[in-house]
Amino acid sequence: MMPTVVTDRSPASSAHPADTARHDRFLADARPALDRAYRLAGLLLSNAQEAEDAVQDALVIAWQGFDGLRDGSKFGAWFDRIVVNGCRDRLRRRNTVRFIPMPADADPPARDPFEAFLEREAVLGGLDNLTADERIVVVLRYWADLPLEAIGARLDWPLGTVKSRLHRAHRRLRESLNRPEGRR
Amino acid sequence: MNDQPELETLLESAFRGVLPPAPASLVAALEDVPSQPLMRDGAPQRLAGRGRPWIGALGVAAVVLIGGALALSIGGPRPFPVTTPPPSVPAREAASSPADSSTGLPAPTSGAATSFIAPFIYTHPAGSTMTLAIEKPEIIGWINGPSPQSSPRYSDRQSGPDPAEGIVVVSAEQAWSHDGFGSTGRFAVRQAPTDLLADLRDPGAVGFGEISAVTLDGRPALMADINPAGKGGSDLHVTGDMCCISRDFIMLNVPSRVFVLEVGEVTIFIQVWARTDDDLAALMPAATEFVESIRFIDAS
Repeated sequence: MMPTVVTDRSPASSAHPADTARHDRFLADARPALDRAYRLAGLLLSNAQEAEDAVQDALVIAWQGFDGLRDGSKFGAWFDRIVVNGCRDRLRRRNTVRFIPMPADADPPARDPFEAFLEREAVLGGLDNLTADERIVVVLRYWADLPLEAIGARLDWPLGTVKSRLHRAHRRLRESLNRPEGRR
Repeated sequence: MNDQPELETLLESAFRGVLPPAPASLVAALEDVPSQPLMRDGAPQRLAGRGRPWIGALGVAAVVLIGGALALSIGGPRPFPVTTPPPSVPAREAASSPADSSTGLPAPTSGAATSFIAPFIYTHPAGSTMTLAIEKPEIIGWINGPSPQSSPRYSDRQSGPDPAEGIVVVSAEQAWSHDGFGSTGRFAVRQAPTDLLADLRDPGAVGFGEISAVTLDGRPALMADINPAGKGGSDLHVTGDMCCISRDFIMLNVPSRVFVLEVGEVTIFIQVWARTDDDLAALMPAATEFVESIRFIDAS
């Protein structure tokens, strides 16, 4: 049986030139992507704290898989996918898990910036009525301004799948807007 | 509001607002990430000092699990149908995983298969005692039971001591098999998932049941069960030339559920297998959770 192997390649502990280069390349690629990743996660999850957690998880996954990224210029798209996949898991998990604060939680937190943003416009309030995949395609299309082909490439979805999910999302958003109780 | 362009304009306009940048705690966390050990297997490290105020509030928060235990619920709606009848919880001893203090079962273990040609992360659910048995760019597999080190055949039940059950993920990039009907000898399997399964069925003579379209990691996939009864069955070699000895192959003449999908340009074949149909039925709930947990981190 092969033993579990943990290879500590921390630059601080090994200072191997290759490790240092990997470390530097990762940070150089990840730093400029951080704000976008956080905003993307925030729009998908409507929650700043969860967005931060999702991006931190994505950073760990990206660091572990960084050697598999053969074309450094694709870091942004690759990291987008990791963030979106993590957010999709969190959205789906919401169907079965609820975190309920107890009354002892004395100081209520300030209004979540993403929740506030998404409630400001009635059309964005309808995002809550979408499935995880529909929400992802709407955010990537209208916030990230990605063409449908690029969305498919990022998520490894066929173009037809992207189109059908966007079509369903449009229908649900339109229904939300047309429902009086759906207006905010 | 029935006009499509108007809705699109509304959406484009609504998303134009200013959103907050990454908080300082996240920026600091990024700088910490490269200090994380690179994992080939085992639990990935969470970041030290993560900015999670709600963690500190766990003492004043209740986690209400609706529809089952948290560990069993991760993954949400099942992306593929599970037709196997639910068995009793397998009574397995914790071999290498620390036990969960509340259940006594081995805790979930996560890892990253970064050596595999299509790297992915995964989680073995609570109670699983699967251990890593082989890891190469073309194949990574976990087993319950004796190590197959005495035999190069990862999942062969014909020569022992053999593992009892397992899960294996292989790349079909160089895959070939044997003609189960004895007319053409060895043959290279085609790469597209439908073609791959068709080739293994004929001329491979693998006893596939109905093939279903499912999703795995959000990707289209095919799923099929293998019922070896009455079939010749065969194997799937994942390394080496057809002309020569190939030591890495999986047996397809055992009760199995298989998944085939494309990740980037690579076709991936996942096999959950056991010695008997009953063993496979008992394994499937945990194996299903494992398969559902797979997230490819390909660089396509």
